[in-house]
Amino acid sequence: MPARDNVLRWVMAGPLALIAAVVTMASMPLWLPGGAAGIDNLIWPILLFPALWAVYFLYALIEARPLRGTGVIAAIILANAALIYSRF
Amino acid sequence: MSLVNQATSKRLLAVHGWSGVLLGLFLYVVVITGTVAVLSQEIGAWSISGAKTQAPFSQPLDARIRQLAQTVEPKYREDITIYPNASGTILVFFHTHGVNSAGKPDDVGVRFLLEPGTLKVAARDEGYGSELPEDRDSALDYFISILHISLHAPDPVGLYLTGLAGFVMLFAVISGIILHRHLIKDLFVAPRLSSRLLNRRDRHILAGSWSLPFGFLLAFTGTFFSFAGAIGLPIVAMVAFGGDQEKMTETLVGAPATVSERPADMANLDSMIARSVARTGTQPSFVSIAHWGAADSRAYLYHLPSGRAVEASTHVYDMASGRYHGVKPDLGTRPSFGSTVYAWMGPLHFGHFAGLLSKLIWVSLGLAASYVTLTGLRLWVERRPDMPSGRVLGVAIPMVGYGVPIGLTGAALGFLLNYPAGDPVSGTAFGFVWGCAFAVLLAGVLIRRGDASAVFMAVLGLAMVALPLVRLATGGQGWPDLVGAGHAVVVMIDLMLLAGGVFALHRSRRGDAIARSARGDGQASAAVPAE
Repeated sequence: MPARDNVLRWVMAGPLALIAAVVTMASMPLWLPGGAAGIDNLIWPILLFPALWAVYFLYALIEARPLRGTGVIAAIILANAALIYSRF
Repeated sequence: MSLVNQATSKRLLAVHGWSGVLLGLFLYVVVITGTVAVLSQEIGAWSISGAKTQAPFSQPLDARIRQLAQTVEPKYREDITIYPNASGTILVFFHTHGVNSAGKPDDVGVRFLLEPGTLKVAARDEGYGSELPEDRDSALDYFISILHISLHAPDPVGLYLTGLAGFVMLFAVISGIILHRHLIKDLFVAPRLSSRLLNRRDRHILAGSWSLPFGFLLAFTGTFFSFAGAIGLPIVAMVAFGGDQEKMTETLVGAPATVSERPADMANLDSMIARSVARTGTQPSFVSIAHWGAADSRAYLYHLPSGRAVEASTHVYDMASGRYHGVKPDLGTRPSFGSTVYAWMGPLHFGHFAGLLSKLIWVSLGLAASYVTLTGLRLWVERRPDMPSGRVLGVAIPMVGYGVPIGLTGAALGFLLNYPAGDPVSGTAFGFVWGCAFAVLLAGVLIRRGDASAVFMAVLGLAMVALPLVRLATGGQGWPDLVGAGHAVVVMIDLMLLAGGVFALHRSRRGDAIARSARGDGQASAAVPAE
């Protein structure tokens, strides 16, 4: 079903990749170590945000099966969102 | 050999091309303004024909700061920032922290402008930092920097836009690496002369291959700078500090816990600055004093990279005793890996880690990246001569490609003409708008001509050659006086403008001849502008 695959790929590479990058960045302070100055867990998520976005975007284009790719990115979003939710 | 299979390669190539077509011109605007902004400090000095003092922090500031501190409300002594503008005028901002009329965290207080040499108060303004009148001496370099950072769009929309441009560039570089079948070979490709299309393709590949590492560096650091404040800081603050951005900034910056609010006499600031200059070999570019008049007061002296150091350094002094506390990491109160990597982001993006030499290398690489962006677009157009979107782009590429540099020369002309007696802040902005509007009108007039690049290049060349002459005509100093006063950088910018202008004029004549010949042979397409 090429039409469905195309739609899934657009959704995956567009909004899902951006949302996945944002929630991954948001959850990182909760599990990254603070480092010697206690700030590594705050600055690394911000430093890595462009790379996270690029990796999810690229994955959306490279994944041969869009349905599986959408599932993987959706799972990443949900896992990170659950981690953030558990904090509040 | 490509790193991915044929279907994936085709998909990546389609996104590489279409993202470039849809956002390529916008990306070009961000890259070319950033290339010029690398020299913003030098352009600031050029615009006012050199600062009136070479060592603004070696003036007797201590007595003046003490005197001014007595004239402001005590709450504004919480923080003082001191820095010189392009002309050497010292700006002193006594402030505390509040929320401005837009509902955003902002510094609020009293700002003094002190004349270079005499340190007389030239202006006193009170209010929120973002709402204070713009500094007229730095109007041109500030305008260019903000054009690159946020395109003068409202905050945070401008940062989102430039961040998006950075991301498009990042993806273009990554997909370019994946798609390159012969990366090493392409680094040494000799542009073929058998056809114009092949010749352009080879030149695009050659410049693009050499620009890949630099493009990645610029795109990554640029996307970081755009999104760090607009998205990263608020989101991480929300998770880690319940949304308290000020608390997060304090933790990141490493503000010391209040030791004592007991009133104390302040040690001599001039002595601290002199010791810091002796220690680093450079003037500080920025001084900040926390808790003026209290026993826990600290002075932070920020020096740009010097010697073999790549990162800038912040030297800390105890304002009560004058004792040196050492170098403070950019982030946090102790050295850390995160702080070190963060400290590299600025030098790698702005190219100021080895003085003028690294800046000039960054300008050259920025010009190469701009060239790759435009030639990539041209190739896309040339391969699709019958597509309506190709025809539109054929007009838009020279219009934007030369229009933005023409707008920048317009901004410089607007500044120079208004600086002696008018309002250079508005003059700079109007100059840019007029320059861009002229480019749009020119594109409209030349739309039937098809090949407009040669005319655009001639206009740009003339404007660049005119700038040093207008600087002189509006009261700027001549070259012998500038060199004698140690302002060789102003002469350097004059020479760059003259050389660039002459080169553009020469290329416009050559381009026009090629286009005439091509039209004569019936080979030129109306959609394809000549080189």
